[in-house]
Amino acid sequence: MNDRRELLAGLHLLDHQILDCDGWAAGKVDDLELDVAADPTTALPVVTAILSGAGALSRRLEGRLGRWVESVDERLASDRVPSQIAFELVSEIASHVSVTASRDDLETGRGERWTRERIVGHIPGAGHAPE
Amino acid sequence: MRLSDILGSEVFAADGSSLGHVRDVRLLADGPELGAFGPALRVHGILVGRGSLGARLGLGRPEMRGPWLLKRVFGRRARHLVDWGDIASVQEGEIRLSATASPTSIGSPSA
Repeated sequence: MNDRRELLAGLHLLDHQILDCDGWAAGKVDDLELDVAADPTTALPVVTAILSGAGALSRRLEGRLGRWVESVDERLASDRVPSQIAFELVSEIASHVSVTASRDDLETGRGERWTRERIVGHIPGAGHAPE
Repeated sequence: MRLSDILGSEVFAADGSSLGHVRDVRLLADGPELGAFGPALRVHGILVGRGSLGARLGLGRPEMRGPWLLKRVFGRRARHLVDWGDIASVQEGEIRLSATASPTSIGSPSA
């Protein structure tokens, strides 16, 4: 349940840490998806999802750097770009944003998963958990 | 549409004069129910002004009393709160207000 009724999107949401149901970091709030009516004067836009990851952040980076980051994220993604967390999964907005799902089930962890599978997993000994 | 499509956009009054850029977006949790979150957040307005550095440092807020010099330099920039209903169109990097729009001058957002 959200504990604040009024928020400023940039101040209270953007760049805040996302924590999963177990308290693990699951990315940052890089952007928000808004559902806007075709005629903006007829209805208020509704925040439907948190966008996280390089693909979401790229829109906030100007010029060539933003386009390059977006392009890299698109190449790494096997699913939709940018990664999203439906707002139904948000349970609390405070100094961080808590969600009710595990980070393994969220799209936002795909960069870390890609690194684990494609790079770390190929390092000799990577498959043996420390005992 | 994304939040980043709105943030930073230049805002024009109906007569074509520029009010500044969108500095933040005001949300209220009064939309349809969304699972564990409760009422969905809806965009009720935009915070428009000039001079992002002072705003980002929070120097436009009345409760910020100092540092005195920075407050003098950055704290007096004009800022306006525009209701979403006063927006006529949202295009790439540009928001135009309707002729009946009446932006509210504010010293700070009520956060």
